[in-house]
Parts: sequence; structure tokens; C-alpha cells
Amino acid sequence: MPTHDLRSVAGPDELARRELVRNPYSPVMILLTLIATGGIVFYAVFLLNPASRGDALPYSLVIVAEAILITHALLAMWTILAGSKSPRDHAYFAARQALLDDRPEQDAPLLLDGKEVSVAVLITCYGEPLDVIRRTASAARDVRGRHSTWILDDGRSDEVRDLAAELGVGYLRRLSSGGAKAGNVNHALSQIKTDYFCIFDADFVPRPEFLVETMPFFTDPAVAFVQTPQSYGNLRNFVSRGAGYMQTVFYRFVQPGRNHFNAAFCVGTNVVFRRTAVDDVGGIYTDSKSEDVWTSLMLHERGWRSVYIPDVLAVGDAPETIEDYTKQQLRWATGGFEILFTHNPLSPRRRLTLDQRLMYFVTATHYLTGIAPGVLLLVPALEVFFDLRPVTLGTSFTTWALAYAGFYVMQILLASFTLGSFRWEVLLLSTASFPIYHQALMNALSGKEQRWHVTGSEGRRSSPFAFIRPQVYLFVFLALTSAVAIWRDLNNTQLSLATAWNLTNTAALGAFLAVAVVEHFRPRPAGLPVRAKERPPRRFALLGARTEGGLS
Amino acid sequence: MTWENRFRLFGGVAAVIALVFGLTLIFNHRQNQITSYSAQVAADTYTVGADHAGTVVRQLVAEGDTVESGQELFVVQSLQLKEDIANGLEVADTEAYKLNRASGTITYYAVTAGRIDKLNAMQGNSVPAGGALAELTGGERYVEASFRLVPRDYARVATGEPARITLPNDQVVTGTVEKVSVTSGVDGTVSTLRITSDALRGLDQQTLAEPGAPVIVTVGLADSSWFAPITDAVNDLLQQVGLR
Repeated sequence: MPTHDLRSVAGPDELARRELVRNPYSPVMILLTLIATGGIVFYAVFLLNPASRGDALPYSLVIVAEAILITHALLAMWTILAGSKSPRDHAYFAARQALLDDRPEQDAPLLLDGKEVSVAVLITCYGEPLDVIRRTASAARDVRGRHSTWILDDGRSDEVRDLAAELGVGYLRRLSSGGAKAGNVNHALSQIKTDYFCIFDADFVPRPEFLVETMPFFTDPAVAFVQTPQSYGNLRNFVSRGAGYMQTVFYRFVQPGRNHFNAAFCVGTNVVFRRTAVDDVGGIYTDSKSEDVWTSLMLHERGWRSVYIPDVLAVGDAPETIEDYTKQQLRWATGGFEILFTHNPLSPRRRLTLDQRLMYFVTATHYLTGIAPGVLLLVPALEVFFDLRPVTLGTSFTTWALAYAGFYVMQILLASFTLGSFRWEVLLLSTASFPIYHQALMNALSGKEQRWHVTGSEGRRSSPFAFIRPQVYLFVFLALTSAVAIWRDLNNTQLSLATAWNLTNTAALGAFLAVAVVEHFRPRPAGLPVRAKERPPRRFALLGARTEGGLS
Repeated sequence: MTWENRFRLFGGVAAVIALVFGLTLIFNHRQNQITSYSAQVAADTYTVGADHAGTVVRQLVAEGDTVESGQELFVVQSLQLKEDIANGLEVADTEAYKLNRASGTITYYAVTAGRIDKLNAMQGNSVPAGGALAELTGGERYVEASFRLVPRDYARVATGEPARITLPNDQVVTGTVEKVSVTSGVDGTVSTLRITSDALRGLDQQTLAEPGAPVIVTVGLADSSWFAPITDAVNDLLQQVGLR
């Protein structure tokens, strides 16, 4: 209801209008990105200046950690600035005009270059709640344009089979469960022979215009897949907001930027593939934790083109518990490190363009930026206990604060501008996540699968504390160190920067643990069935997602 | 949460607490000691001075000779002194020289054990009254150490406190704070401590304990904090089990 007495307008309401007018590459955004780039360079020059070098141990820790953060931040700025051009060209709009041939019915045939093309929509399931699958499957069935819809049920549930019959969608179940989600899709591809196929995770609900927006890109015969963002409809608690907003910069700016490097990669869901392209690389890649990035990499090595459009065409769920968040991040990070160790994109053996090599190298090393905050958290303790300082005492506070703000404050400002407001959840969650990425690095190095010691009794949710022991240890360490730091400052009758940092870090980690405590005591929501077995990796990685650096 | 997880969690927390406790001991130990920014070995020097003008008739030592306390150094013939004595002047012997009233000669002795560092008069030279015959560096060694101390630490430095001297060859000897003095200059307040040590005497005098040899001095300060009993208890334990 309008709150004024002006004449009401037919057509888009105010909200929809604003959405239509929104310009992601606004001049302010470009300016902020440029200033942030300058800030990064200024900070790098300050750190490397021999005059500010302090004691060897903390200085080298800081240099290594910050070098990773600075390099990735600069590459992210470059990617953002590179992406201001829309991938939709004249050919796209022409193809879109002809796609439905002006036929209004929901299952109008999809025409590309005048010929009808066949499309299958595949929904991968593994023991998700029935109502979640129902929501997704019925929305998938109702997507505009003629297509078939299939539920690929690795959970082997008869209820899901009945649901498929009820909704009038196809149902496929296989005997083995090899290759996890990639195996599931490949099995389906052996039975369903269509020109194109979409993949949706069971909790990602497609919008009706999904095919209308994506299919016209395939008028270019080199396009292998069209990827759309993951958007989350459940940002209702700390973890889901932190985990969800963490991806925003990636989906709004990094992936569109990667388009121009021809290195936008698949994120496992909300994607439509050209069948012949996937056949060209031997199906969806099954030998990795992150089949989506690997399949993209294989396609790019075979000379295919990928397209990413930043329009939200499906809405799903971000992880809501520390357990789900930890497992998700561990999967993504392990997948990234695997590329680094087993398929280095910089190797001359890869048939990639230099653009693609650089972008995939960013992907493979991205989660090192998640480990860096963990290293930086320990630096104040070195000063408290051993009087070892990363920068000399001679450096004035103003110089230091200016250089630091040039990097961190600008990064936070840029992220806040993208998100519309400052999201402290992202900052806290990324500060507290470094043990996950460290674990991922170790797992990728040793080639081991992560096993959790959470064989709790059936029907009871496992405590978040089973997943965040390192964070608990570090919190205890930082809290006790803060006490010693205060005692030290009282003795020396001088407040030190180390104490201030240590207290800040303790508070950040403490807030994260407070969330864990609340989660530990929160009763399990009634009616939701407990997943008896752990879902296999949902194996899609959104590397390059975290442009916001952690606290240090 | 399984019991296994609980044990892991609490075991880990206990380990972290133990780690911080150990780090705090190290930190507190450092808080209760001061380290010199400049320190060197020093020795007192003595001048063998001629009290009466005369001629050196016998020179009994050469430059660089090591001498014992009371060893004869020079014999000086003084006609003036002989005349004065003949005229009835009462002149007494001192620790540093003895007179031969009949011949008017003066024999100079070393007042301390040490080394002749510089010879100002040779046999046959004449010396004026008050002139220097030789410079004698005493054999007794001590350390002069400079510290920049905050007021709180300056107040806690006391004479008689033990000090550790790290020699140029990284050998560590113990000593005692004998004297504390303080000067203010352009680069702030500098506290100078004189550290004596019996161990310096047993060293090679030519190299390690040569005056001017650079050393590092750390002095333990009286720990008056509430943490002191805990430190003492741990030290006692380490001593008891033979680790210290």
C-alpha cells in the first residue's frame, strides 16, 4: 500500500524499479576500488620499508601472512575492475528474442538458431528433508520453456520416489554411490540424452525465468556452461548471515570479472551445461572433492568458454550451524588446495591462456588468505611474552595507523559498500575460520579425507564444540595472554599496541564462541528429521569468495 | 558431544593453560632482570709518582712486566733530599717508597700487584718532583656496566645483588653489584653499575679480562610481585629434580 496519495503506477513497483536501475559498477564503487588499490600498495610499501622492520621472527610472520593477503587483495581489485562489461552481447539478445518465438505457454519449446533444443533439469538429492525436495522439484518443473525434470536420488528414499510420481517429474536411483554427486550426475547423463542439462542442489529453488535468461548464451557454439549465483534465503542467524554475506563480493564482482578472463567457474548448482561440452571432457570430473571447479578447469583446457551472469535465478540455503559451515568451508578449501598440489595451473603442461592460469592460480591459493589471520593472531603474544615486535619502536603510531587503515579499513569499506552495510558477522566468522583452512591444507597435502569424531547417539545433534576445538584453545590462549599483557602494561605504566590488539582478537574469538555456546544449548527444531549419516561432500567450491580480510 | 570429544576439549584447554603458565614464567623472569646495553671489563690504574726530584739510578722493571705487590720498581738518587735530611728534615717512609737516609736514595715499590703499562722514566733520566715514573694497572678486575632503567627498575637495583657476566667467549661468570651510580646526559639517564667478581681473577688476563673487553651484564631484580612465590616454587622444584 502506498503511504502517499499520489496516483499509483501500473508496472514495476518501487522496489522492482530500483532493482532494474541498480548499477553494480557505480562510479562510487569504481572509485572505492581504486582507492582501496592505492591503500594496498601503500601498506605493502610501509611493510617492506627496511626502516620499519622489527624483530626477525614476528616480522617474517607478518610479512608472509600479509604478502598472501596483499597479493590476493590486489588480484581481487584487478578482477573487479576488469568485470564491468556485461557478457550479454547483441547475439545474446537476438537469440533471446527468438528463444520462445513469442509463445506464451509455460512449456513452449526452446528454440536456438531456429531449432528446438532439449533440456533436462537435474536435482541432486542425498537425504534432504522431503519438503525441501518438494519445494525445489515443483519449482524446477514449473521453469518456463519445455524441459524434463529429474530427481537424482542418492539417498534411495521411497518417499522421494513417491514424491516424484506425485509431482510428475522423473526419478532416478543408482545402485552404487561412487563418485558422490559427480557420479550421480554422470549416471543420470547415461540415461538422459538431452542437448543441455541444468543442475540444482536439492535446496536451491530455481526461478521460472532460469532457462529464458541462460539458454540464449548457447547461440555461441563455444559456450560450455552458463553459471548463475548462489543466493540465500535463510540469512536469519549469525552463521548463515556470515557464511552468506561472505560470498557476496565473489558472486557480485569476482565471478563477473572472471568472465573476462574466460575463467568463471561452475559452483555445482544453478548452472546449465552443454551436453557435448561435458562429453568432450569425459563427463563431470569424479576424482576430486570439488568436481565443479575441476570440470570447469577441464573445459577451459579444452578451449571452451564459460559464462557467468550475476542475476539471481535460484535461491537456496546457506549453512545455519557451525557444523555445516565448518564442513562446507573445509570442502571448498580442500578442493582449492588440491588444484594447487596436483594440477598447478601455472605449469607449462596446462593448455590455458595466461588470463586463465592467473585466475585458476588465485582459485588454488585463495584459502591461504584464510590461514593468514591465524598467523597474525599470534603476533601480539610474541611481544607480550618475549618483547619481540614486528615493527620497530621508532615507527610512529600515526604512520602505522595510516598504513594499516589504507589496507584493512578500505577493504572493509569496500565490502560494506557492496553489501549495503557493515556485516560484522563476516569479519568475526572469517577471523575464527583459520583452523578450518589449515586443516584443509593438511588434508590436501596428505590426501586424507577429514573424519570427525562425532559419533553421537542417534537423533541427537552434535555439539558445535566438536568442530571448533582449535578456536576454543586459541581463545583460552588469547584470554590468558590478555591478562598477562594488562599486568605487563601496569608494571611498565604504558599501554602497548600489543595489548590492544590482543584484547580485540580475544573479543572477536569470544563472540564467535558465544555463538557456539548458544548453538550448543539451542534445542533442535522439532519436525526436522536428523540426517543419520553425514552427507557426502556437496562438492562445489566458491573459491575466491572472501575478499574481506580477517582481523589480525 | 561424545566423551571422547569432551576429553579432547578439556585436555587441550589444560595444555594451553600450561603453555601460558610457562610463557608467563619466562616473561616474569625477563621482567625481573635488567640487561646492560654497554659493559666492559675495567681495572684501576695507579701512577708511580716521584715525590722528590732526582735521577733514576736503577730501573728494575720494563714495560709490560708483571709485578707483585711490594716489588721494587725504581731507585732514585736525590741530592736535594740528602741535603734536606742533613739539615735535619724529618721525612717518613710511605707504602710506595722507602728512603735511605745515608745515601739520599729513594726506592719505589709496587703498591699493588699488576702490570707496568707505561714507563715514563728510564735509568739515567732525571725526574721532577711530582713527575710520573710509570703507570701500573692493578691486577684486580671488575666490570662497569651501563643500563637504561625505568624509574621502577632503578628503584629495585640494590648493591649486593647477584649479577651474571657473559664474557666475549660466551662464558658466564657470576658477580655482585658493588656500586650504583647514575648520570643524566643528552641520551637520557644512564645507570652505571660496578660489578665485582672473583671469577675474573682466574681468567686469562691478556684476552678475556683485558680492560675494555666487552661483556654483557644481567642483574636480577628483587621480585616483589604476587607472582614471586610461584616463580620460587617452580625454581625450587626444578632444583629439587636436578634441572637447575
